[in-house]
Amino acid sequence: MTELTFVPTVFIVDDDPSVRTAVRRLLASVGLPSESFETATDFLKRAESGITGCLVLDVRMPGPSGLDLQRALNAAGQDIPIIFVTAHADVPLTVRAMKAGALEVLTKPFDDQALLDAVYQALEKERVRRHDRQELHKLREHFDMLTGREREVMALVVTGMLNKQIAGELGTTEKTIKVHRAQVMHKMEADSLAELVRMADRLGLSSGD
Amino acid sequence: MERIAELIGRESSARRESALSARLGAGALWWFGIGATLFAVNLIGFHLLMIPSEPRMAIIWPANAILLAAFVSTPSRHWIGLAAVALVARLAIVFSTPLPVDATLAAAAGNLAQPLAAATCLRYWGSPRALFRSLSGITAFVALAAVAAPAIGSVVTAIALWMAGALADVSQHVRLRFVTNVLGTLTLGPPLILLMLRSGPPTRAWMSRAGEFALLLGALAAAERLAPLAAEGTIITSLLYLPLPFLLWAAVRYGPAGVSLALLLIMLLRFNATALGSSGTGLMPGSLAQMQLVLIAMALPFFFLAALYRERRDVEQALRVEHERYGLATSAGGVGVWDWNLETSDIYVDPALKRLLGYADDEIQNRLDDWGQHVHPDDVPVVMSESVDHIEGRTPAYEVEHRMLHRDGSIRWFVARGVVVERADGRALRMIGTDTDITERKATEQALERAQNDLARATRLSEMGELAASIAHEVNQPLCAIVANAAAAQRYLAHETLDLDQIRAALEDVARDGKRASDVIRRTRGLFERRKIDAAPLQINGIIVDAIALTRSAAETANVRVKTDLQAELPFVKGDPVQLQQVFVNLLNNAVTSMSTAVSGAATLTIASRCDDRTIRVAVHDTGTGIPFSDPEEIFRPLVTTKPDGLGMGLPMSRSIVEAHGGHLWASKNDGPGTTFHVALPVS
Repeated sequence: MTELTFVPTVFIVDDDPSVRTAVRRLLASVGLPSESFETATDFLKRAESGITGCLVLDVRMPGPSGLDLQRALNAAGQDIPIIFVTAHADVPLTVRAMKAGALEVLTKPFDDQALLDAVYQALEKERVRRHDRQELHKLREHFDMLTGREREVMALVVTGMLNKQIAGELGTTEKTIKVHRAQVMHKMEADSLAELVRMADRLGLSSGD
Repeated sequence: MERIAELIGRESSARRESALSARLGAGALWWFGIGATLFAVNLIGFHLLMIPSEPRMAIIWPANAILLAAFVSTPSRHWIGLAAVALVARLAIVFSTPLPVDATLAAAAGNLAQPLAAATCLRYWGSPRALFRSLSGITAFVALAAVAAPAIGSVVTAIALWMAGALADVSQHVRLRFVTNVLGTLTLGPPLILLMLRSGPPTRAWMSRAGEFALLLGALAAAERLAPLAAEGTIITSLLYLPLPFLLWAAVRYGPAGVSLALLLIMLLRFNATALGSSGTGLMPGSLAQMQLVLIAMALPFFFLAALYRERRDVEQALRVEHERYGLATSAGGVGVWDWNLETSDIYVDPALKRLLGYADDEIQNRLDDWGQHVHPDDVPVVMSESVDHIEGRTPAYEVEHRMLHRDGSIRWFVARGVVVERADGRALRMIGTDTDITERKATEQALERAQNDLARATRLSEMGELAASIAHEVNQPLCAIVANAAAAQRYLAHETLDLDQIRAALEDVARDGKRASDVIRRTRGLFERRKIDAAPLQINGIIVDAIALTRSAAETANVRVKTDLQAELPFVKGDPVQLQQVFVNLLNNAVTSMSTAVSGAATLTIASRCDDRTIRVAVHDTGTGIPFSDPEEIFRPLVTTKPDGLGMGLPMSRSIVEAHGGHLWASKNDGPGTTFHVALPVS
């Protein structure tokens, strides 16, 4: 099972070493693994090798700021949940961060429970998203096993057409279609037509033509 | 506005007047016209105005008056031409009169002498326009043109005629000719001079005045004709004074020229009546010469009266214009005049001033106590003490700003200015001054003052707010670490197996960060304290070289080239090497930062030291982004920074260090890109 390989990590980016150490210690006290970085640039380097978890990000840092890093991650298609922490929060900054997709903006010194709640929420979000991604991955694998004819049949089945109509459409007999249809249901591991329709939807098969 | 337009109109119509000669110039037409006129009047003189008795003499000689007017109204450079024309016109008469040629020439030369002499004298007196508008002008005209010049002319002519052999009794000739010439100048001189100086077409007012004048002359002629008939030859001498009312009328309404023309008419009528005997009643007994003398004597006072009256009217007119200007100026400026008689406590108060307070002139009496009631009660003491100070000679002028009460209950601000104008035995008798309404200026001043106070307060608040924010930021970092460590320790304590190492480490960090937070606060307080300087003689170049070494890596990272231009063997400076080094490190760091965002490669930092006149000067020159404010001083204000993560305290601190060393630190914008910071330190 791929879910077992998911090791969520809390990434911390803050220029203040005391804050980095303290936050890592707090996370460790509840058993959460973490990694910390002094600058946004350091974190971006690490992100290249693949990251899973969430990001606790300081806003005001020398060099690229937390908001700059958020922009860079968005641009790279990296949608890791971000919790901003700042020693001096103002409304415009909070609005900008939230608009760009931040999960939470915490003001230093923050309540330990508030940080942990935000981290759990972020990890849950990441887990769900990861699960969804894995589901989709599995569906793709199944769909890839279908033959060309089977794909054609599946595309028409999910529109709600009867076997006879599909046979007419594809210029073959109803019996052949019935065989293809059973094959599709088996390969896609679908228990019902309703489930197959849902799968087609997630795979992005257009229900028209 | 209408009054202004009227005033302007009055000025420009005066300017439009120009002399006849200026209009026609030296045009041929003008010369010909003068010549023809002179020829014609010579003929008239010879044929119509001759007294029919021996020796032959005209009753008046118009040619002389015409020449006089021509000379007076033309520039002197044309006088020779005028004289030539006059001679030619006169010679032309030779062929139409029975007089011998040499006698005619002699008389012509003599006649020319009179207007020339008169015009020369009048030119020295002044503008011919003013001749008939003042007592001094009419006196000059009568004395010079009507008496002196005829005397000269008569003597010259008589001598010329005698030399030409055309004269037996010189003294009689002089006497007769003199009287004729005086009468000619008086009757024709003023109207002709004014006529030649006039320009432009007659105005409507002029036409109606001409109509009245025609009426005057008509009435005069009728009286002259009818009076002798009514009198039936009874009290003939009393009729001598018959023209007086008409002369008075002419003098008052038409000035000296009017008197002249009335006199001319009387003379011609009587000449006609007496010499030719047309009326036959003998109004004027005695010779025509006597008549001339009587008329001259009668008319002279009226010339003076007319000029005096004209002068007075001109003065009144000027006064009225002045008064209107003054009224306009004061009403527009919200100014009113007062005139305070210190003896009687009467005070004349300009009605405009009362109007400014909403009162009519008669609603406030011109008494000090009544006027004083309108001064704001709170300001009465200062007004009184200031005026007394000036009255007693302690101040050169009285000037005080005070409030006055408007009729509608509002308060108006005035500035009162005055000065004592009369003193007797060291005592002030009279003070004159103005009150100017400055209510609006005062309101503006007060609004400005309020705005400045608000701004200063807002600036202070904002500076304090920013400082508080930056302190909060510095303190919140360690506090954040403390809270997180404490929470972590608590959670470790809740574990079943205690991880004492972690707990100990967390508590150690709590202690360390607590100390760090307190350091931040102490450092912040230090910003505002006056530092003590550990003064020692030092070489500024050494400090600079050390500062460059300390900032070398930053400069290399930003790809900035550092150039030095240090003057060798500079005198010593007394100061704290650590603090001064801090100043230069700060300036160098600023320069490097400003150039790291500039175009790379062109970035050069130059630091130069010089000594002049007991002062060591160091300039830190960069080619960076420069100061984004119009006033370079702006960047020395606390919390002002151009760096994204700057605190805005570096330059104010550097400046306070340099000033504590008795020096100066300032910035200037370069001609090219970037900024130069200057440090001036006194030589120890």
